Amino acid sequence: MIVLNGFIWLGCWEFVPPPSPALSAEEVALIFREQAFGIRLGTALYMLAIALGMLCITTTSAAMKRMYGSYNTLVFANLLIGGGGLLITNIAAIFWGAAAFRPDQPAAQIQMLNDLGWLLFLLPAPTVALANAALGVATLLDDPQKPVFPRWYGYFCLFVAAFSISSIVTGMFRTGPFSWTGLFGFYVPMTIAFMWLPVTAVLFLKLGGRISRGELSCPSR
Amino acid sequence: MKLSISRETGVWLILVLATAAATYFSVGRQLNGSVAIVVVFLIALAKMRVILFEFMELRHAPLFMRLLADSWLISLFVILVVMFLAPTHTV
Amino acid sequence: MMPPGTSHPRNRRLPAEPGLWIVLGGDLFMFTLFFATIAYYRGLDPVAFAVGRESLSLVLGVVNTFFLLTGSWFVVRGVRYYGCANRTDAARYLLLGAVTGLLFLFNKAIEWSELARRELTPNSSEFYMVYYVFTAIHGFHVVIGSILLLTIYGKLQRQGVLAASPADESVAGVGLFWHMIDLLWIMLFSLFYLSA
Repeated sequence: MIVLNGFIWLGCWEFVPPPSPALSAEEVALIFREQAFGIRLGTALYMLAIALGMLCITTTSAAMKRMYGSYNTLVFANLLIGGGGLLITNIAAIFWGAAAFRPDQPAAQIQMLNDLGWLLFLLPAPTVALANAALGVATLLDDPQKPVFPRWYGYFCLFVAAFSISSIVTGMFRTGPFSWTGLFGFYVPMTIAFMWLPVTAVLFLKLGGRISRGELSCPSR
Repeated sequence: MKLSISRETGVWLILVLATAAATYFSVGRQLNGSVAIVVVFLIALAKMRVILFEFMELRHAPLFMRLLADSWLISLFVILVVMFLAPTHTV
Repeated sequence: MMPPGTSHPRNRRLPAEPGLWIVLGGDLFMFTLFFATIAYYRGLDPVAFAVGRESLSLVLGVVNTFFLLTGSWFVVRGVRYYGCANRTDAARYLLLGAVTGLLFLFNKAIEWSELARRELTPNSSEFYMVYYVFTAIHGFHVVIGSILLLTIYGKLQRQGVLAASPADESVAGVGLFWHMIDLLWIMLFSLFYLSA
């Protein structure tokens, strides 16, 4: 999923660095017309990437069910909110695809579709963050004798959740570090999210090993 | 050691007085701009160190944590003073 | 708090569990970025920043600092009482800590609405851009900290002992988080109210 996303963002969409929200309609239109194929390809691939992402969410939820107490609220929160949040980014990708779909549509329209895409992508960040927070809380409430995940991971998830939220202000600024091309609007949340992915992946591989070796076999509830 | 006030109360008093001092010496008041900035940051970082070492009990922590904390505070001081006292830039 | 003799090298330990320091360290790192950002934008336009600073109410800023410092004092006592197994006093002090947090937030709301009344919004200048966003993020931390303190207070009232197993450390951990919030505010206060 990391590789696919990296390819999409860097290779196809070339959205790193993101097009500044301060650009005029004409300039935005230029970007979408020139990179039309890349953008359409990226959108298609993003659908696959999100499918993988949803799998990621279901796996974390399953892991949460194994934790001590297995609080239904937290598990469902992760599943529903994480899944829902990711799906919204799906729509964002489709907007970008639509912007590149007809290169001869008016520039202002392309700009609007681009804006919608960015705002849809970044503003719902707290939704996914909440799912992450649920995972973090569940990890911390887990039985410390036979934990599913190490305790530091719980804190790590909370940290990731807390600082992914900073992108909600991107709707208020068109320039500066809080816009969607800015340090705190884009780079920080994305970096943190991409740090979370490999950490979680490694822990899951280890978890798989432990489960097949028979540890954690006692149901906690 | 018997004190008439507990340690944390003493610390609190120091922090409150330091806040008053920093406000007194803040930019636009008693001191010239650059001097005020240095003084304000010095006091701020001293207060932060006090909180770290007293309230957050870094006093009792392993050496490397205390070194890490102190180096962070010092770097913060240097970075901020340099950026604040440097001439304005346009990029 | 620790009994005498704990400063001996062999007794040195990290306050509260290691994992928490990921959050604390991460937070401090992020806020360091924030501080540098404030300094950077000030370098672009020191005049706007000076104007911005003067538009803020120094009194309310000092009052807020006082609230958080006093809150930390309450929390230190609360954690200490908890460590000495004095649940009632611990609960009371932690509650007072949470109250200072709420006072801080209330005060901040007053400040913001006063600024908004004068039509000074995050888009007014780069000073206000960083001021609003960073104090908001800090305020969000105060909200979380207060909620955590209230949760512990509730548990202490209801059961007299925390249900989760690493009980002692979670109270100390919440205390650490609270002190960090205090620490960060001191720098924010110095940057926005005293030296911009």
